[in-house]
Amino acid sequence: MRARLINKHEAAILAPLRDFTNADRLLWAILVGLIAVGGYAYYQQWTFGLGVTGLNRPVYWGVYITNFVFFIGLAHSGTFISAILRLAGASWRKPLVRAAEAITIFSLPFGVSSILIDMGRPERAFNIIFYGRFQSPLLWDFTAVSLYMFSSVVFFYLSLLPDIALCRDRLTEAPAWQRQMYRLLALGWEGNPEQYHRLEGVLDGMAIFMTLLVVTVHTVVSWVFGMTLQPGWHTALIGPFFLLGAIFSGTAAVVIALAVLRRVYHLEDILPINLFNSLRKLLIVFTLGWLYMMVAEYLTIYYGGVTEEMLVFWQKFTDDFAGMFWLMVLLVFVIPLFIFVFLGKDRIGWMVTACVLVNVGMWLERYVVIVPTETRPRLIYELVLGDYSPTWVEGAITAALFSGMILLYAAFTRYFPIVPVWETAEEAEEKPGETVTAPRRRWGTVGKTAPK
Amino acid sequence: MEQIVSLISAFFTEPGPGGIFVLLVISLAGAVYFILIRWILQGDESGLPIPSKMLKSYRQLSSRR
Repeated sequence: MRARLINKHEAAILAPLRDFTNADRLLWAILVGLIAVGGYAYYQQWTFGLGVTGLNRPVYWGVYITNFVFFIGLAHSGTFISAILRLAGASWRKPLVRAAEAITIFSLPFGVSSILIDMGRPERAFNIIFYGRFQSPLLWDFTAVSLYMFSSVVFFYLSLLPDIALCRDRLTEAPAWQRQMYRLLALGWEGNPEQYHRLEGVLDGMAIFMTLLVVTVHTVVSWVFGMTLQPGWHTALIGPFFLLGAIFSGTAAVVIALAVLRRVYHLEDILPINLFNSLRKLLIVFTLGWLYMMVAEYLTIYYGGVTEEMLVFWQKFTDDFAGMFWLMVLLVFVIPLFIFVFLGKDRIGWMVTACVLVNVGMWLERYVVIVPTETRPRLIYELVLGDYSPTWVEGAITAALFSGMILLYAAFTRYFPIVPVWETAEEAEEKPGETVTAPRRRWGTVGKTAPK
Repeated sequence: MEQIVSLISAFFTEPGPGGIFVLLVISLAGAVYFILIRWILQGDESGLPIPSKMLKSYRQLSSRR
């Protein structure tokens, strides 16, 4: 007899890969339609220039850069859940790591795209390679985001590798191209103990590196703003503020994704209510942490009373952006905290409601950080007062970016297990002559064979 | 000495070296990840490197066809 790792939920986890429904086709068609509208809007922008957007002097960054910061923030969910909780030894994270990592993988490209879309001449992005200077925060940003995207893909792929081999061996009824895809992506994975041992070791090591990258990336993203002398941006707190906001919105996005997956793919036994309760506690901490950052930031500005800073301060608190600012406070802090503390326990519907509000509020928060400063820049006497109203082009492109992200995520869940089979497997005794649910095969061991 | 100082200063202030730095970082990461993935896959009980077994497997598949 020897010890084997067998996942009793294997059939349920693989079920979405075998069942492509009309509802999927409808969802995909709607998303592709929205992407097409966004494509047309970008064609307009490409043809007629940035004049078709609401961008102007001195408001150079608007909705597009808001999207960039928001998508990069969402991308922190996967690494936070997977890497940081892996290092902390939180075993409850195992069923949800892939759903979280997939958000990272599929939101990062749209964050990067947002910058390219914001550039009137996107081909000039190559200038950062040809003429990059160490003094430029844009170079730091490019380096950090590129490395984060690359490393996240590798981290995601490595943890997916045993399950790709599982698909290769189990989904024999899949179309030929799909089986060929599994065969190529599995890289000849056999699933022997030494491979698992090495994989675990590399994932543990990468988790440390990824945790450092999470902190670095969003801090550097914030420095694109913070290294200027603009009021509202030039503060040492902007790095931690951006980072906490990113992890906050990312974790809220994970809750939304998990709730949808649980409902649509009937994963109630695999994604139990306890998972949501654990995430709820984290979210309470993040909500309060975010409030602390807000108070620290604005109280310091108010007591300093620097003229240029106060112009932006009042823009947010009482003037042009007051409605958006206070709505953001309501959506990110007041309502979610009430729900998390009093209504969220054992109630997924309330948790999803709060997390949707958090994400809408965090998008507004990014907008309120970026735009008011540009309407009241430091060198205001040389320029006219700024004003900015996004146009339909920016709206359509934004909808297309979010649709693209959802489409990739939905497609992924139809071709790969969204719950890690090998990480959620349990140890069982294999007796001689007994048929086990996960037989050992030469190519692509389905169950993980653990040495006794 | 002054020339060395100006050379170091130029490295940080002139356009160009930053781009090379980005490419170096990404290339280095690519190389490290490639080596790690290869090392994981070579973790075979029999000690045989995976690539040769993969070739054998593909040959078997081809011969069946």
